[in-house]
Amino acid sequence: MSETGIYAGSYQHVRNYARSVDRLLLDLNSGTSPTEEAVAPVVSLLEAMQDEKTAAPSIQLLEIRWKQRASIPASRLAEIVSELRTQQISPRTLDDLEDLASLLDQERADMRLKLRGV
Amino acid sequence: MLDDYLAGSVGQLLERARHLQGAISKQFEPEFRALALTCRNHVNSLIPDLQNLLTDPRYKKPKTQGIRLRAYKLLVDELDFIECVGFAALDRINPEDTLMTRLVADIAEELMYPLIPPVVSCQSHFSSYFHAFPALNLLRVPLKEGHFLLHLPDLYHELGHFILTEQNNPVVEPFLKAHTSAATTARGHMAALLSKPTRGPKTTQQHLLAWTTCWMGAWATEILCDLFGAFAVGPAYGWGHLHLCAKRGGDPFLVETSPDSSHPPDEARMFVMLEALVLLGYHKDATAIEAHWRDLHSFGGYKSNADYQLCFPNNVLKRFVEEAFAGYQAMNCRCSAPNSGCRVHDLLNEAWKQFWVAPANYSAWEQRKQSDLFPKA
Repeated sequence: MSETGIYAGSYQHVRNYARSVDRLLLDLNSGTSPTEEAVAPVVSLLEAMQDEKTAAPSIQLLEIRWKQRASIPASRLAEIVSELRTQQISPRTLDDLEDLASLLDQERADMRLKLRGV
Repeated sequence: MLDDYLAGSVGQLLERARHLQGAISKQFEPEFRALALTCRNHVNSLIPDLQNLLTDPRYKKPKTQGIRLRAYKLLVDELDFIECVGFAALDRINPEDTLMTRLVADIAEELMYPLIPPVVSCQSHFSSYFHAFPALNLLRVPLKEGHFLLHLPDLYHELGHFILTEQNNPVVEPFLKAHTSAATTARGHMAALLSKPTRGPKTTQQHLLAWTTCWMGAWATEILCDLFGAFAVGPAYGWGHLHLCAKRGGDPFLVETSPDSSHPPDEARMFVMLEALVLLGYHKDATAIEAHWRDLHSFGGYKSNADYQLCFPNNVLKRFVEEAFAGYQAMNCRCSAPNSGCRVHDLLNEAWKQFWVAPANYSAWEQRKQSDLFPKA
């Protein structure tokens, strides 16, 4: 019966995802070769999104919202993961990751407003 | 522009962080020390990130300014959060906070709760009611809630939220798996509706997409926490939900069409609670609560509707109950039972019995029971 309790937990997840994606984008956009430490959390997130049956609901939710927002076909997730693993990152993947980063930022900001009871 | 702006603003935030650290540099009662430590560590972790905004050479590239601005906003939010929630709780600790924190610890012990119980701060804002902050292991309740018994069953619901946000903990995994499995069932139900060729106008499809989003977000979580509450404290939880809806609820069948809906309809929540009570053997209590619940519908003129039936079929809701019960039991948490011998559990259930036996005398009875709720050590 918490009025807004849900956002407390989800917020942490979204914040962590947002930080991970932006950390990777910061490397990629500044011409720095990303470390495994920067790539792994994003790959892990994208791989979890690919498995709708076992992904945590918060990840399934994110996947739904990303697909709705950017019209990302299911096959794109595997392509992005492959590019990240091989560090052969195309401009399209950079755009898709930027879109995911924007979505996460928006989600985070929306959740924060609800935490404040607005 | 961003360089100049951040040079000024980040400098100010760093000073604010130092002020916060100074404010909690004192002794706290044992229950509050973990929160103080969490707040201190969290602020300390933000300081290097704030400094990086000014010094990291990657942020000097034109292509990274958007990322830099997002990082700045995120850090501002984090500092706001820790100040407004964590530090605010520590700054105002009073005897009621201490008593409520000890009460939740007693509840946790009674039900063999697998996590460290949260600190309670009696300072909910008007719209917040009971509010869990798992990242801080903190729970906010309304200012005077500790003086009254009828809404306290909601504490058990909030304890469910802390479990659902726990990570890397095998003890609570069964409940997390129940959450995932039940939510995936709901998603499958919505996917089947979306795939039907005769699904109707485009608006219906948009609603189905929004409801899928809600199921994967707040709805599944809230229902799992309701079930945690019902399994833990029994009929008192069902009565508490009826009480909350009578005081503050609207149409219990209303299915919001926003993908950001924070709670499922109250009818669906009550349905799973009653199913849970029957599973626990509380048949008579479930019947009594349901009868009063239907009366409330009648007084309010509320009736089921097509959206509700589409979105919350009984088979999906029953799956939640089955999954949650298995998950709850696998955590070895104590299930509610009549006269369990658990002080808080039995008192909250006795309160609802007294409420209906002699409504006019209830308030006086409740005040006499304060010492049972908060026995002196």
